[in-house]
Amino acid sequence: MKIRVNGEEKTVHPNVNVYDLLIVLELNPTQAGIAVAVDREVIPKTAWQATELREDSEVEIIRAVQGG
Amino acid sequence: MQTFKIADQTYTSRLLIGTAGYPNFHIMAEAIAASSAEIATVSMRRVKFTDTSGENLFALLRERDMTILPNTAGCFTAKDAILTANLSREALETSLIKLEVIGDEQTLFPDVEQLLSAAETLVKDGFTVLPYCNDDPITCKKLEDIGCAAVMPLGAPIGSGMGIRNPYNIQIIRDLVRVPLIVDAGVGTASDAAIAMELGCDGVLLNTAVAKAHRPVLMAEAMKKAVEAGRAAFLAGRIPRKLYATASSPETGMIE
Repeated sequence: MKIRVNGEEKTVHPNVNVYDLLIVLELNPTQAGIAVAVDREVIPKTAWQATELREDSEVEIIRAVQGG
Repeated sequence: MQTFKIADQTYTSRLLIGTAGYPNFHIMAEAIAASSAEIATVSMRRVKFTDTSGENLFALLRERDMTILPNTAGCFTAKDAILTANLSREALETSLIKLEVIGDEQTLFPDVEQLLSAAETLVKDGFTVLPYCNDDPITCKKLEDIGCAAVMPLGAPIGSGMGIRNPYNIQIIRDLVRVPLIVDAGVGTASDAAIAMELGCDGVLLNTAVAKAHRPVLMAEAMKKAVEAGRAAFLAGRIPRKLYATASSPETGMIE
């Protein structure tokens, strides 16, 4: 199925969960300092494995960058 | 010198420093150290899948045991600022948020209506809200009444280096609010930071003045001294301004 991650279209296995998506994207899910929102709702780390994505899900993966 | 408190945390340094716009990561790290700041701001942005720099800002600030203050820079609506705040709380495990809701790209002045609305929601949601706001006493008072942990009026537009454009308003805000007062934005050089502190501010938040200085590390050190000097001058109490001279040397015992 197709989803959007940080504005980019990605093709992933149907019903992939947030945790597995991070692994597919080569982002270590246990690293500190990242957060995920799906369809503008923040998904707590503890719910990543239980949160399955759907066709056209909009995923945002963010971290701290230099800012003022 | 008195320490300074935000929410329940006590700080020795009254300088808060931004982490953006330095010539490189290494100079940023050195400048932050030279500033002796204990609080550093960061922004929340999308992870880049191609980033191989290995530079990890979060790890660096954590290693130094600094308080990380995430901002909502770039948000133009309360809705976006609230989502960003929630993401930062989840990512950085902090309820601190430097709330910015921008009203206009050219001036980067805050949108007061959206700012107040976002502040209200975030305070209710348990955030420690530090709002970047106009140097308007009424807005600052409203933000305090909402339950913000500090108010952070601008000295001048972000990145402008114009200094404290309305010192009289800052003075009125000082009289009006009891929460920590931090001048955020507009500082161009050390004397600007000193002036903010002499007006009775509890702290100064700056970024560009250090990051874009010809020698950022040296400017960071200058800012540290300016904030300390300004605070000491405020506590010492300045003399009143007078139009005419008053001799400081004895007027008696002159040779004839």
